[in-house]
Amino acid sequence: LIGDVLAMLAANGCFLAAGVGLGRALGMWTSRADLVGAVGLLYMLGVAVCGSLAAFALIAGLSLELWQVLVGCGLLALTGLARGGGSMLRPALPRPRPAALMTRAIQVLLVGYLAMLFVHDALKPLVDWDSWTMWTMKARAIILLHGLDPALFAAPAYRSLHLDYPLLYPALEAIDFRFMRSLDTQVIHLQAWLLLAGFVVALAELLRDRVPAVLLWPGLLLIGLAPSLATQIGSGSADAPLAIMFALAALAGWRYIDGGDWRWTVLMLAFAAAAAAIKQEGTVFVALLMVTVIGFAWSARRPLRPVVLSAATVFASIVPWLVWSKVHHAIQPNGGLPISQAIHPSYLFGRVDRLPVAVSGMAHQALLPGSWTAMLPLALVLVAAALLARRGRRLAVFMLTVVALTTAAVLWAYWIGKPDVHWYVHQSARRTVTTAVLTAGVFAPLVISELASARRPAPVPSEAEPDAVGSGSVSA
Amino acid sequence: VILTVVSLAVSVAAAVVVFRVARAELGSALVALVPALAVAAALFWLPGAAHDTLARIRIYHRLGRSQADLAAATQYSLHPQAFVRVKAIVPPDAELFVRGSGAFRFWAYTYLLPRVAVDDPKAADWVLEARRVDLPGIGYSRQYTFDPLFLGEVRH
Repeated sequence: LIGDVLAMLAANGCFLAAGVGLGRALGMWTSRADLVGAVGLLYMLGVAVCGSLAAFALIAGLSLELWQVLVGCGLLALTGLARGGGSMLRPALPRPRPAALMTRAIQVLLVGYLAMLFVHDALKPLVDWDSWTMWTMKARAIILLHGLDPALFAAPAYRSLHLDYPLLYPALEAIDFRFMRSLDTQVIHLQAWLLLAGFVVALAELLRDRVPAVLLWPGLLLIGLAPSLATQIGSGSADAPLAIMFALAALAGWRYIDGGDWRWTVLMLAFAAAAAAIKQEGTVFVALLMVTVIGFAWSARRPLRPVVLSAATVFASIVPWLVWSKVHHAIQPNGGLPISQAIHPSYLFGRVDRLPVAVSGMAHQALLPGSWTAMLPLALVLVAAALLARRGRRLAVFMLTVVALTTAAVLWAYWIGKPDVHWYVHQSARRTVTTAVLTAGVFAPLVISELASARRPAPVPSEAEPDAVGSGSVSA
Repeated sequence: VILTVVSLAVSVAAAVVVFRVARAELGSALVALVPALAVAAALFWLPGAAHDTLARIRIYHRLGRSQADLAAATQYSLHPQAFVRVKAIVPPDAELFVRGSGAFRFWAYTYLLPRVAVDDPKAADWVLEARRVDLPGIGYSRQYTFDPLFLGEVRH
């Protein structure tokens, strides 16, 4: 067990090394102190990029052998030889002593709780339906069949395994198995745990220059301790990783709209591409996010070229998997979700009675105190306050738009879906609300910070001028 | 009841501290209420979640590796030991036709890898059934019954 845990950590150390290199090239860190202060975001960047590239490697016929992973991560780490411009990430806002003590107490609490989840997830057997029937099963198949064997990944017998789902998450788990040199179905749960831990640290790094610690860390506590997030992370399914990558992409998109530094669109691209490569609905969520970011960037008079290029790259990243699936006939007509009827008025009108069931089921799951505590209600109250107070309105509307669109996409699936809606919602709403609720949760500290902004000190100026497009230009 | 009382006490106490610190720094009681509520909401569930997690850790800690590997089959009553015997008989490069409930098929697909499944028994090397059902046109050169599972090597 300990050997497998260490192997898992080594695999993720490679992702971190890749992220460190990419982050250096992007200008996310320029000194050792910067590096320590960006380690969470660099790790998440490494996972997003390595995961996406691992999925491409499988499509290209590789089998994610250990040497292939080491060479790939090594090459990505070497990109750090090209230094980016001034640091994208700024230091934290000044914090008085009581706030510093409170922050430390919350950090200790979060570390303790996550440590407990670490032990739990390292020991948990693979019993959750989606993980043993699909996600980890595909990872095992990648190892045991030496890559993306059409005898499984495109075979009619396996149609019920959602063969059309993209491969990032099974690819990550397959890399973990390679490092373990065994198929340890207990320790494999730690991959999602590492994403959760990296996500919490990355959020702190992304928001520290915008949100005072006294507002930021209670928000992170609310996210880190959310019971539903812990359950989903421990289940080994891909909904929480999708939500994590999507929330980071949305935050990076907002940072571009807010500050205008084009390098945020590169981060958005990495996280959005990863979200689109985790699950089918990730592609829809990402498309809606890209449209939203483009719209808000236009209204904020930010250059559209970086964000349009990012959006185009994200959609180009989906193409290889679509081509592979088409060539191998892996995409079967989805009788349960007839996309062809998606905007057919008579079809939709005839099933309009499904909507109230879906809305109430999703609202129940999103507002259930034992699942997401007060994350969504607090975020919505803050948005309403920002709109009424006319402070931080653009941010509030951005967050509301992203959350509403992702929710609408899920509701649309329930609306057009063929399965009995009560059964459908009962089986899935617990997971399908995750992206919207988590996105609301990560934006909430920003919104409250905007509301409180008149009463706190001005932010510390950065080395790079945030409004200068191209301020992070790469220099050898 | 004790856990609920403890949770309530912990969350209220922490919320009061956070409220005072936030109000002192931000100068607004209304704004300070938000982090206080966030901490209260987060901590209210913590004692219960910690209690349940520790209880599960104690259970998981007692599982051996082989028990853990078969845990899904055990949970869904899929005759894990019969599958162990099937795995010992069917060669790794064989193709299987699997017939049974959804959970049965999924477990066969997962546990019996790298043996792959086909959707036509005539194209399969072996047939695995949750219960014996005569498949038309299929003869067997070898047959095994691991009550109630049936395993047969298809005679081509």
